[in-house]
Amino acid sequence: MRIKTQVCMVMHLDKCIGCHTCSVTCKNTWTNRPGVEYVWFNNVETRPGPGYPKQWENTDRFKGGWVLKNGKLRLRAGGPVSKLANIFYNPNMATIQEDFYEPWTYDFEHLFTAPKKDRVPVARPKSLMTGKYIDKPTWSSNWDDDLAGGNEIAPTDPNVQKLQEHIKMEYEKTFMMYLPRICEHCLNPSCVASCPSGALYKRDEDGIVLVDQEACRGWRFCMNGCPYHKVYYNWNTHKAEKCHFCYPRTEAGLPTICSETCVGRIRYIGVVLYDADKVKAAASVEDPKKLYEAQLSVFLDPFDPEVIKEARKAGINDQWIEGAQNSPIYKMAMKWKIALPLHPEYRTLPMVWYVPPLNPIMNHIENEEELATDGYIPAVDQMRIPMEYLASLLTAGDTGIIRHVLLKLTAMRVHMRAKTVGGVDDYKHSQLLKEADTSVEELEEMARLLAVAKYNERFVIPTGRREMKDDLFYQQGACSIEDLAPPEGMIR
Amino acid sequence: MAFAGDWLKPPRHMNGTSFFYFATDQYRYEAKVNEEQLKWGGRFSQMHPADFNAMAARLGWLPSYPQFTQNSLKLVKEAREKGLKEADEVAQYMAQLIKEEKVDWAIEHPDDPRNFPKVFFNWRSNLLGDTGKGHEYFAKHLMGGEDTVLAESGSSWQPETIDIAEKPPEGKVDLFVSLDFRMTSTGLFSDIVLPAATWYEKYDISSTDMHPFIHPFNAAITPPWEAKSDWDAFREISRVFSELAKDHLPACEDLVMSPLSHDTVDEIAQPFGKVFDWRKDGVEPIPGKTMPKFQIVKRDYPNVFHQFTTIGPDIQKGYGSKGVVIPGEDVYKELLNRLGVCGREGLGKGRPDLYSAKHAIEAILDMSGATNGKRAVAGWKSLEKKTGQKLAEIAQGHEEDAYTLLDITAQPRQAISTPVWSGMEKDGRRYSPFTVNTEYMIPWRTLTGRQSFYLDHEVMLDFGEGLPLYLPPLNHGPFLLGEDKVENSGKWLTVRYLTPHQKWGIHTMFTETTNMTTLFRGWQTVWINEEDAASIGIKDNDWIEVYNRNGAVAARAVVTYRIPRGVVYMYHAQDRTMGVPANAINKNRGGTHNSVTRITPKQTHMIGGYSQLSYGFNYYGPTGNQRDTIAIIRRLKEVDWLED
Ligand code: SF4
Ligand code: SF4
Repeated sequence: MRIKTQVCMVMHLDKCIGCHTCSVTCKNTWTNRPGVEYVWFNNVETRPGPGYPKQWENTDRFKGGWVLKNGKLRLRAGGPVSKLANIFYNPNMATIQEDFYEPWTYDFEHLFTAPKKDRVPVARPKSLMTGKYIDKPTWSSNWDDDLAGGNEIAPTDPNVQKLQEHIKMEYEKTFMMYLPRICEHCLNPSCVASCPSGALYKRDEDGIVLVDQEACRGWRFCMNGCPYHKVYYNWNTHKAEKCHFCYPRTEAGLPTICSETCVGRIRYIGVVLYDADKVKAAASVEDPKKLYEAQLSVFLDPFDPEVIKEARKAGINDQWIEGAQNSPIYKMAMKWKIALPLHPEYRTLPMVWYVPPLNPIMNHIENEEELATDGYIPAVDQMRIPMEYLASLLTAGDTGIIRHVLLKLTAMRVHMRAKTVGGVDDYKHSQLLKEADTSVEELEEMARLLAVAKYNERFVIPTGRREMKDDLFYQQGACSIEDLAPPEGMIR
Repeated sequence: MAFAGDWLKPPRHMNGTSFFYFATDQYRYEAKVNEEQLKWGGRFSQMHPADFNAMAARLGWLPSYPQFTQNSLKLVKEAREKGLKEADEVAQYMAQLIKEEKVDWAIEHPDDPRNFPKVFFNWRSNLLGDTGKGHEYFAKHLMGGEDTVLAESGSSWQPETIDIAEKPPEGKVDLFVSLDFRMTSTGLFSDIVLPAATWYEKYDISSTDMHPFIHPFNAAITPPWEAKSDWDAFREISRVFSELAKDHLPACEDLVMSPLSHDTVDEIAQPFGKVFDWRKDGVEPIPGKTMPKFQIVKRDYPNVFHQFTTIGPDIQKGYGSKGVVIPGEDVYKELLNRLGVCGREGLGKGRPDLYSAKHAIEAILDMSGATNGKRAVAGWKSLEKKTGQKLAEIAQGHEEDAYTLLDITAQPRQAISTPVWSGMEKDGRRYSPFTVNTEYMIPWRTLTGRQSFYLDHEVMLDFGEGLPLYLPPLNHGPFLLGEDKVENSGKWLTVRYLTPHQKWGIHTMFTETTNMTTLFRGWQTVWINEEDAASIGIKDNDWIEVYNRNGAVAARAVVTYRIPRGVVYMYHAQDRTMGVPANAINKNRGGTHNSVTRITPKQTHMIGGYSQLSYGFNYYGPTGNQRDTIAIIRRLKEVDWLED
C-alpha cells in the first residue's frame, strides 16, 4: 500500500445555473494576460453542444488520453519516441482559430476619438491576434450558450453522435444542461506522460497537476495529450499553462476561486486517500464500463484503523486524515456513489466528479400530490435528458449506473418532499427505496449536503502540508506512468 | 436627506413614463389598441393616453413638470405683490388662475419651447442606449440626433386636449450632461461627459430587499485623473452654482405643484372612487382635494453648496417615509457627534458636516432603522400609534446596534427589520413581503386594510378591470395603415419582439467588457426560432435587422430551436456602441433594443387620490410596458460600418 492524498472536487449539476461566474472569476484571477486571451481554465458548456474547444471529446481527432494495447496502457497519441519523431509537427493539436476561437475585443478607443459626424460612432470588433478589424466574431468560448445555433451546432456534440437513440432537437422537446469544467487533476494524468520535457508533474502533497514554467519547452504535446483539453498554450511566453486548482488558496485552506464564487453553490472540495499502487491496474481494466468501479477501488476508507496507521507511516498528518474523514467528496463519490467521473474511458482517473442532473425529469411530473412513490420510477426512465447521453458523459456508456444514481436522487427528493409538505406515506416499503438501494438516514444525510450545507461543510480543505521535501513530486508525478515518461523527461 | 428634505420640501419628483411620453413626443404616434376592451366602458377607456395623463395631472393624480408654461417663480412673486401672505392664500390664488385659464398647463402644451427640458442632467442612467423606451423618438425629438422613426403622426391617433405644433419639435434639449462611469450611447449623445469614478474608486453603501445585507463600497484606488465620485461631482457643481447664483439667481420663492400622495391624508381626497373633473364636471378646483397641492418653497440658490454639505434644520422635526415618523431631536444631536460639526463659514456652520461621501454614509447608517436599532424601534413605535398593535418587539435585541462604515467594511451586516418594509428579518429570517402584516396584524395600506382584489374606482370599472383580468398581448404594429414605406424585396417575417433581461446583467452593467462579450457572441444579437429563420433565409450568425414604425435595429441572428416560432428575443441593454453596423432602411446606425419599442402608458396606472391608488415616488405610478411589440425581421444584406 502506498497511501497518497488527493484534493478533489464534486460538481452537483442539478444546481448549476449556467451563469459562468466561475469562468469569469477564474479568468480575472489567472488568465487576464496577453497570450492567454483564449484560455479559460474554467469553462461552462451548454449540452448538448460541442464544448470548448470545439468537440474536445472527439478522441479520434485529438488523440488524447490513454488506450489499452495488449493489456498495457499507452498514450493514444503514441509514446514519447514516436512523438520525438514528430516533435515539430503535431497533426492532432487543436489550433486557436479552428478549434478554440480567435479572441476579439472592440475598438473602444474609437468612441472617444471619432471625429464629429452625423452618425454615432461604433466600436468595431477587432481580433486580439492580428489587431485587425473583423466583420463579426464566428466562434467563442461559449458560442452555443443555451442552445444558440440550434440544429446547426448542438448535434456536433460527440456524445450525441454516439447515441443510438435519436434525441429530439425541437421546441418543447428540448433537453439542456450545463457542464462546468476545470482540469481533472487526474490520478493517471496523460498530460504528464505526454510531456517530452518532464515539465508537467503531479505534486505529491495534494495531487495537483502543475506545469513547471522553467522546464516547459513549448512542445505542446500536453495540449492534446489531455483528453479533456485542459492544457493551454500561452503564445506570448510559449509555455503551457493550466488550471492549478488555485493551490495558493487551497494551501491556505480556501476553496478555489471558481468554487468560492459559484452562484449555484454546486461545488464541493475535499481530500481523499488512495492507494497509488492500485492506480495503474485500475486504469488498465479491459472493459471501459468497468473503469468507474475500478476507479472507486483505489480509494481508501479514512476511518479504517489500518489505513490510518499506514497513512501516518506515509507521513500524512492527522489534520489531513481528519480532512479525509470529513471530506464531502468521500461521501458523495465513494460512500453514496452519486458523483461520477467525467469520461472514465479516457483512463486518466479524473478527480473532478459530477452528480448528474435530475431537474428536467421532475419538471415533467404533473399531479405530484397524487403520485404514489413508485410512480416516480417511470419518470426517471423517461427523462428528457436521455440516460444514454449522461452515460456517455459519466459512465463510459453504462446506463445502469446512471439510472441507479438518478433513482437515489429521486428517492431523496420524494422523501424530503413528503417530510416537508406531507404526502404519500408508502415510502418506506416502496420499490423506489429498494431499487435505489438506500435508507432514509442516508437520504437525509444526502439532502443536507446537497441542499443546505454551508461553506464549511461544502469545503473541507486542510491547510498545506509544508513538512514535505520539495522533490517528492517525482514519486507521485511518475506513479503509474514511469515506464512511459521518465520524470526527468526525454529531452531537456 | 436624499432630496434635500432636511432643508426644503417638497421636491419635484415625477414618474419617468409620463415625463418622457411627452418630452419625446411619443404621444403623437399613438395607435388605438385593444379595440375590444375599449368597448366595455367608454368614458375613460376611449380617451387618448395623453388626454388621460393631462387629466391625471390636473386632478392631482400624477405629478407633472414643468408645471405651467408661465414661470413659477414669477407666479409666486405676482401673488406676493397682490399682498397674499399665507401659503393657503397663494394656493387659492393659483386655483383661481387655473380656473380662469390664466395659466397654461405645460402638459397640454408640450411643443411650446418654454416647456422644453432644455438642460438635461443624466445621472448614471443609459437613457439613450437602454432605458429610454422608444429610443428613436428620444433621438429625434429630445436630442435632435439621427433617428429612424418610421411612424407618421398623420396616420396616428391624436389627442384632443393637447396643443400640438404642426411641425414636431426636434432637439428640445440644449445642454445634455452625463455623469456615468459606463461607456454607453448616452455618453455619445452628451454635450458634456463628466469623468465618473467607478465602484472601486469610491465609498458608498448599498442594500436591497433581495438579500438581507448592507454592503459597503470602499475605494481600492483613488479615482484616476479628473474622475470624481458622484458625491464629489455634485458637491463641486453645487459650489460653482452657488457662486454664480450670488450674481445671477438670488434667493427667491418658488411654487411647487405636487400630486395627492401615498401614505398621507391625500389618500382620502377623492372618496368613493368617483371622478370629478373640475374643468367640466361642475366641481370647484380645490388644491389638495380636486386638484394638485400648491406649496411655496424658498429657493436659496446662493446657499445650495452649504445646504448640500451640511444636515439641515428640518431633520429635528422628525423624518421618515411611508407615513412612519422618527423623532429627530436626538438624531440631530447624534449626527453632530458622529459626523462632526461643520466649521465652514456660512449657512452650514455649526451643523452636522456632510462634506464627503463618507459623511453621507455615516448619516444614512445613523438615520436608517435598517442599520440603527434605536431608529428601528422608533419607527415601529410610530406605527404602533397608528395601528394600536404592539410592534416594537420586532426590532427587539437590536436597540444597541448602530453600524458604522467600518463595521460593514469588516463584514456586511444584516439589515434590521423596519416598518418601511413589509418583510421581517427578525430571527435570521429572509425577506418576504407582507410577513409583518400577517404576523403582527398591521393593516395593509389599502382601502380595506386587507389585500384588495377588487378595485371599485370608476376608471378601473370603465376599463373592465375591477377584478384581475387576463388581457392578451397588445396587438399594435408593425405599421399603421399607409405608414410602411420601407422597400422590401426580399423575404421577411412579422414576429412578436420581446426584450427580456439578459443573462449577465440587468442593464448595461459591465457586459460590454471583452471577457463578457466573449462569453457569448459579442454585441448585438437577436434570438429567433430556427424554422422561422430558415423560412426567410436567415442562418446562424447572419446579419439581420428588425424594424417597425418605431424604428430599426441591426444585429446578428442567434438561431435556435429553444424558443417558439413567431417570437424573437432581443436581450435588453446591449446598446449600439459595439459592433453595430448601419440599418438598410435609411443607413443610420442600427439602433438599440429599444429602437423598435415605444412607451405604452396604461391609464389605469394613472389613477390617484384614492387610497392605495395614489402616487408615490418610486412606488406607484404608470410604467412603460414596452417589453412586447410586433416587428418585422429580415436579413441585412450589406454591412456598412459608417466609419470609413
Ligand atoms: S485533466 Fe488535467 S490532469 Fe488530467 S490529463 Fe488533462 S490536464 Fe492532465
Ligand atoms: S458559477 Fe457555479 S452555477 Fe454558475 S456556471 Fe459556474 S458552476 Fe454553474
